[in-house]
Amino acid sequence: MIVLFGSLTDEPLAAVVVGLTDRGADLLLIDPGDEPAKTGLAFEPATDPLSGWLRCGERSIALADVSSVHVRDTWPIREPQSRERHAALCGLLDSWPTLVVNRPSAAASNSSKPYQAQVITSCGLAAPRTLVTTSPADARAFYDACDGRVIFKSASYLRSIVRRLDTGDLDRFDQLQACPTQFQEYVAGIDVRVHVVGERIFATEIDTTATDYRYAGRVGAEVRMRDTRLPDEIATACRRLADRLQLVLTGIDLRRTPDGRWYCFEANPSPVFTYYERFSGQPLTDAVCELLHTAGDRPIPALQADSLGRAAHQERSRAAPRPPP
Amino acid sequence: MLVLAPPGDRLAGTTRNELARCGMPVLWLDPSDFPGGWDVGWSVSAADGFLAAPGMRVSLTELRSVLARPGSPSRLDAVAEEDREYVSAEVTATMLGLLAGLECPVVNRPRPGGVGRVVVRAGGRLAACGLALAPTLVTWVPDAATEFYRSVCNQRALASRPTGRTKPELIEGRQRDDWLAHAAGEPLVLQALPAGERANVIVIGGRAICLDSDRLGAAERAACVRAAAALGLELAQFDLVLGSAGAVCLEVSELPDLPANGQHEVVEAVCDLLADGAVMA
Repeated sequence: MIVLFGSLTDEPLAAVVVGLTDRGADLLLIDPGDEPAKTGLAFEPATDPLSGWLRCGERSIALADVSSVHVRDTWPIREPQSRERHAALCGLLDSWPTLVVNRPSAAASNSSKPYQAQVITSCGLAAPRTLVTTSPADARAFYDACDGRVIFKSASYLRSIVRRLDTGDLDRFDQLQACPTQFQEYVAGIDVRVHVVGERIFATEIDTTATDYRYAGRVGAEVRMRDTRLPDEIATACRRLADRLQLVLTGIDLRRTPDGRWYCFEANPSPVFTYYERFSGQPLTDAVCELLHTAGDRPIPALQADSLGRAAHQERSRAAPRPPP
Repeated sequence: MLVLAPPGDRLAGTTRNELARCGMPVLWLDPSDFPGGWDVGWSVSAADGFLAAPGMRVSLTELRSVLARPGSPSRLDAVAEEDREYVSAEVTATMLGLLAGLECPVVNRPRPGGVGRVVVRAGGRLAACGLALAPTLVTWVPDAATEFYRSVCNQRALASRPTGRTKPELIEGRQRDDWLAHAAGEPLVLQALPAGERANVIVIGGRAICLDSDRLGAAERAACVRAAAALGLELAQFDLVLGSAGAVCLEVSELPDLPANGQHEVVEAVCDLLADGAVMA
């Protein structure tokens, strides 16, 4: 039994449903957009193994009968009642002794890109020079230090269009005091999206003139993608990053500079892999389906909560300084 | 030392006073005052930067340790309604990245997504540390709640919400109607309340301090210390029931309050933790 959370209007989930159905998998799809009364959940966190059940419509299943779970979406957290459902489900997904792609605690690393940047560098990947600030003077100094080659984007999980900073933006720096902002040195080069799917890794080279290829159409730029091969050390670092973030499935954004250096921007815990598959022809949906369908044959990657939030620090920690006598 | 806490935080306030009494320079910043009340700027790759409030500016490399007690941004009223979600998310992302990256000890160093409600998310991890969780049900199905209340809780239970936004409420007998019948609309957490003595244990680094019971054994103390470490908490409060079969855990909080009795022992231990660098990396 495989449980899927999300909506069939979500392209990756719809593709996975088709792929798993073709494999003859037994599926239970729970759409958070459905009438709340359609679903039911009861679980006992104190039991070992975890006991409980999940209901969708007329069908109820025991949690113990589930071999894998794919999470694309859960209940929204804006409304109090759905926020409670979200919290209950996250509790289950974090403690469920089965393969969960991805557990909420692991996916949460994407809520802070500055946090992720520290984990990224601890895994041996380079991150661009990054400043997070509320200080106009600080931002101006960074702009000058980077010779004006600076982009800005959200520091949080909220999607934003990556933009180059231009001289007109400097006049708006006084607004920084109302909201911390993340600035990064612009790194020229070729974008490479890496998908780590369990043990498998796929690299897709993206050819475009747009600053943010996801929105190339808005600026009249074209996008082309093709399968590519990563240098061994970069592939190893990507696997290490996925492992350290405890993401069974992740989309890692890299850029290769003209002189052959590699930079990493972030690891997406809920990648829209079908977008890359459509351009590149890489069998990403097939890999995700295989991962979910054969989960019962492999050990379960349990959540190592005590390493979360500390991964970056552990790498860089030094003997704690003592206070003055 | 930096204390990052709301002004009404008694544990943080008393700790600050004690540190100041010992001659340690302490900077207090209210997290709900950010952004607007103070500034931050740091280079993520270099782990260097500053904190600035009116009349002062501190380099991040000058910080010896941090007591971090999270609060929500309260200055969002001044932000246009359509921008509040964005600003709130950016503030959270900034503080998480900043505190995660500081080279100095941070008590408690935050993690993405937070610890969450431990009894909902980490019962298995408590058990692995030798700390049994009280029989607990998480559900939004009224029939399941009613059956658990009747058969497991013997019609006496603590009821609360999965987010932990309200304190657990003791329900008995017919009071169940208020909670159980509405479970479909509001998911709930039901916990059986075993017979025994309630005890609060505050774990501070490797120490477990229990101020309201002398029945807590060494094994239970050690289990609390292990559980706090497994949850990544240097400072945590365990709500236990000490029964004939040993200790059973009802709740774990990452934000312990200052106890009514024995404040000095707790504050001294927090000060030691901040001062001697014994915080887990």
